[in-house]
Amino acid sequence: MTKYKLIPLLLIITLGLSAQESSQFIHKHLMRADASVVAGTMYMHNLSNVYLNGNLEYYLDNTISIRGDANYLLGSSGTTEDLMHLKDNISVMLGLAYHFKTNNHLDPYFIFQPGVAYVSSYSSISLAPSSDKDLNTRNYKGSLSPLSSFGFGANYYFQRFAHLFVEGRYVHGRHLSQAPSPIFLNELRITFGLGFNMFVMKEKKRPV
Amino acid sequence: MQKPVLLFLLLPLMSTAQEREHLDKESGYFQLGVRNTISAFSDDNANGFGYGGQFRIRVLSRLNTDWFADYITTDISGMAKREDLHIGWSVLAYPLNYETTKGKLTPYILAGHCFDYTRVSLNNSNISKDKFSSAVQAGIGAHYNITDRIDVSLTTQYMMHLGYDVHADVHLNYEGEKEIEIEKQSIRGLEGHLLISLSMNVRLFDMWDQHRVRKTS
Repeated sequence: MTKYKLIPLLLIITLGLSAQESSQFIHKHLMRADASVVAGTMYMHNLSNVYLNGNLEYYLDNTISIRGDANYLLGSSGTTEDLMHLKDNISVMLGLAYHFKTNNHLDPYFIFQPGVAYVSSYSSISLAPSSDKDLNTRNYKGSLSPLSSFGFGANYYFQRFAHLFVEGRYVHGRHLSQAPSPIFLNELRITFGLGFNMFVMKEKKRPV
Repeated sequence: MQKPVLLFLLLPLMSTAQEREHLDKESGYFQLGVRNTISAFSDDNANGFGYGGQFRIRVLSRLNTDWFADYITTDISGMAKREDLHIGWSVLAYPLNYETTKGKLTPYILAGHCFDYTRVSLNNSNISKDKFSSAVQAGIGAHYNITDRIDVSLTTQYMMHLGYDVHADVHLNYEGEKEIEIEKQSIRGLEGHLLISLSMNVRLFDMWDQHRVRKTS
């Protein structure tokens, strides 16, 4: 039993040591990427969604980075008041992040990312609520919806090639289609996981 | 006696030289940014929301150029959809503060031109009408410099479309129910909307590298 307790302890110590050994990883030319699962709630319609997210970020200097994100809807539960469901929600976002300076490997940031989403929906009219087979569905063609998003997050660069991250953001948008009423895409999203970092260019040494 | 007169005559030249030194600090930069736009007061009486991007080339310290593209969608009473695509450019002039300094505001006036495509389509049907036209726009705004390289800009501009207007007309029928009709004018007219944009921009590089040249000389 004590053996199992020791393993996480040793891992933490190793991470702590590697963090102390190296200098700050957050600097110009750092490139980071991650793939994660995102949980989202469209609070205006009681829809809960799960996305697969991938992103790539490049640090222009110690405080500014350019970041691109892609999100793919894996599943959605719930319906709108008009019995509408989300079928597809694929979005791409491009924006800038401002990183707050710290003296350690923690990298808190604010991000602003406008984007666009391809969204399609379907409506379900229940003919006999007791049986799912009797649901009469109607599919609506997909369309592009402009998005705006902003949020806060933090990376922790515990090692030269990897980091931990956590992020929460708000997404604003409206899906307009041939459906009788629009679907608000306003959503709160949260994600966390492990990301990878690489140094694509070495920073030039300043003359003493 | 002649010396003070000569010095006095040289004074304006010295100040011009200093100003030129100042000018070179700001001009020549290439900026890249992304933005969200709200469209209001259109002929359809509905507000739209869009996303887009722009790049800026600063030609003089007090003069910038902004090259943009926007995609805006508008819900019209839940019965129709309007889509606007804009590609254009604007000239930004800085009459007051023009220095890019962290924590400072840089107000500007702008005017420009754009090409646009508009389509209005009815929900639950395949009926739609569209148009290509060009437009002129003018407005005011300000950059807020978060750092010396990055700014947040808020712009309010009125865009006037020159061409055949397309819009949706919502009215009540005899039974009190909402009806919608898409109209495309047969004669060229003026139709406009107010655009409020929030953008975030980053200064990427010095296009004509004059700052490095000046430093080395």
